[in-house]
Amino acid sequence: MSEKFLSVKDLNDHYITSEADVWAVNGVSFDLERGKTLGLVGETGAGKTTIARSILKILPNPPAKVLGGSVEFEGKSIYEVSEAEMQKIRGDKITMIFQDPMTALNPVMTVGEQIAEVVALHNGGNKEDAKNRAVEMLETVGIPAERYVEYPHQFSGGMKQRVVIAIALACNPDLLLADEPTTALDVTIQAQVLDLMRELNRKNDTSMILITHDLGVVAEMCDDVAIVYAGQIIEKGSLEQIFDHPSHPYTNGLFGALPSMKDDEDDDRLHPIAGMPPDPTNLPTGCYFHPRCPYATEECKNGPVPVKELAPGHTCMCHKAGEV
Amino acid sequence: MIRYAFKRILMLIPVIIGVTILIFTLMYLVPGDPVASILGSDAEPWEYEQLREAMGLNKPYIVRLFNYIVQVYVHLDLGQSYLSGVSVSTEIFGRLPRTLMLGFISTFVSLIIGIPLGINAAVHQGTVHDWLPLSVALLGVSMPGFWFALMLVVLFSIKLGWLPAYGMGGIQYWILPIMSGAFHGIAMNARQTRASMLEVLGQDYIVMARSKGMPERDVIFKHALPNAMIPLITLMGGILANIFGGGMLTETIFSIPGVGYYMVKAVNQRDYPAVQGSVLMLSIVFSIVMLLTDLVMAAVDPRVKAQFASRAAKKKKEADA
Repeated sequence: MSEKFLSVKDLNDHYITSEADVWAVNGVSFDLERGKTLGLVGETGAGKTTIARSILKILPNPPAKVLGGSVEFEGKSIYEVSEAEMQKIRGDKITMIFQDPMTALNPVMTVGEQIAEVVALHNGGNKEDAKNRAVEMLETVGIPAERYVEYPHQFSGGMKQRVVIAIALACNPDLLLADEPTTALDVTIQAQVLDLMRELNRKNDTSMILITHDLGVVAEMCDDVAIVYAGQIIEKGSLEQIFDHPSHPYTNGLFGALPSMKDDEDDDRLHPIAGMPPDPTNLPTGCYFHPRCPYATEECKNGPVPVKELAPGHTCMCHKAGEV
Repeated sequence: MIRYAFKRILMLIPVIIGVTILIFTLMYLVPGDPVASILGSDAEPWEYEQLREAMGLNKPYIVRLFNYIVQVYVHLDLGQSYLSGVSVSTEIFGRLPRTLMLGFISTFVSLIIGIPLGINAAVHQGTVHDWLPLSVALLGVSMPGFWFALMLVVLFSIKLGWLPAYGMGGIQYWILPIMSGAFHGIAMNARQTRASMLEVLGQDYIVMARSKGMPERDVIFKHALPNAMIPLITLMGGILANIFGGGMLTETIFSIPGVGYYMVKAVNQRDYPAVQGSVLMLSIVFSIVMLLTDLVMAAVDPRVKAQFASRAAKKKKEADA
């Protein structure tokens, strides 16, 4: 495969308002192979959703501005195609699952219509086909076809997320951007929804970017993992590399903040990461993590931070990568 | 749904009877005397007493109220004007079409101008499409309606001489009254549409619609507008009521022989049957408008509809059990 499936290079997004300039995404680059799942992991406000939305070019402008970078999808540069062409890609080739199913569906439209709508937008407007496909998708996600005519308020949260998934997968997309698809759901429904997504993705050979802050979900779903902090990818690698050899102090911190079931720990307390995520309107100099980093030295406080390759495919953005 | 509509219509009955009692009581309490205004100030006291008795005004409040209610609801008679002796219902039904026409056309104009302005302002937030109409709208909601009507007369009738200042006749007589009636409504509609559009455009389901690859035009008209209309429908009832209420001023300023004009004249002359009859008619019109608003709301918003449905289902369940 000569051309890459998805390649994001040096993406920079800011939210510019009259009060402040928010540095949401600061030089993010990654590649994704066809059929693989990449996990974007990070705290709330780290810029994960902004990354996903800038791949689809649906950031609200104003206030959001893409200041630089490129997104190449199947050899096409997303930032060079026209809006009309982008509309053909959205919903058909690249689709998105939203974080909060409660607000992602239009309250005055039946769920069936909302699924059929996306199909009709991309099949040349054949309403009959679109309707049949919508019924089929409802059944695929485990909702009886007769509920086609019901409205979102008649569905539970988990059911609504199934509808959102049905919309996202109705056109057999090549790339699925799943923005915290299970965060708003309770744990048992989470497992069902994840199973459903995994099964459908495997069936259609869909690639996925899974945005989450739940390392458990990552372990279950992803091939590759990228850790996002303050709008940068500070560490990325395969699932095994990240989980077995976390190298960035922040990644280590994330694992340290997980409760452990083992008894032989020295003490049974959690180790949360000290401090707060940085204010994106006023990021620290040098390494963005240095004010919270237990290993920070003088060189971390100023100047650019090198990206080191620790193993093939495993990179880490830290002066001390591989040492701590 | 039909059952709900029927129930709402039944609920109009106590409202209208309540209005009848209220307006009767108010007119009873208001100072002034119809007898004095009929006879003039130089009448003899015995003449005064005689007429007062003949009109039944010397009876106690409760008896007069009872008589009036029987007269209106049993004999379906609104009585005769004290001054002209003409039947109040004849007067009102002759005038009502003009008042309704003025009210509905003004409302219609305020909708077809106000809503597009509001949508355009919301879609182009922060640009000249936004602040220019919004500044005018702010003026519109702040300005007293009668003053605006007078300014229209000054400009178009007196200075420019394009349109007649008052009276009835061809279409040119309607333009100024409708303009003055609709301006406030346009301003209200534009502001409300903009506010609710902006709120809706920030919702996740709008981002979702965009992520489906839908052209922006369709996102606005198919997804945003139906949702933004819901608070507007509620507002509509209020705007219509406002326009009918303001219609009294408009009719008086432009000398349009409508119900409002009749009512103002009747109030000044303490012509009780005429005042009571016109208030009653206008309140029936209001009630019907409000009822229609609620029904439209239920038709547009499935969540509201579901409330009625579930309430009806619950009742049925209770009845079965």
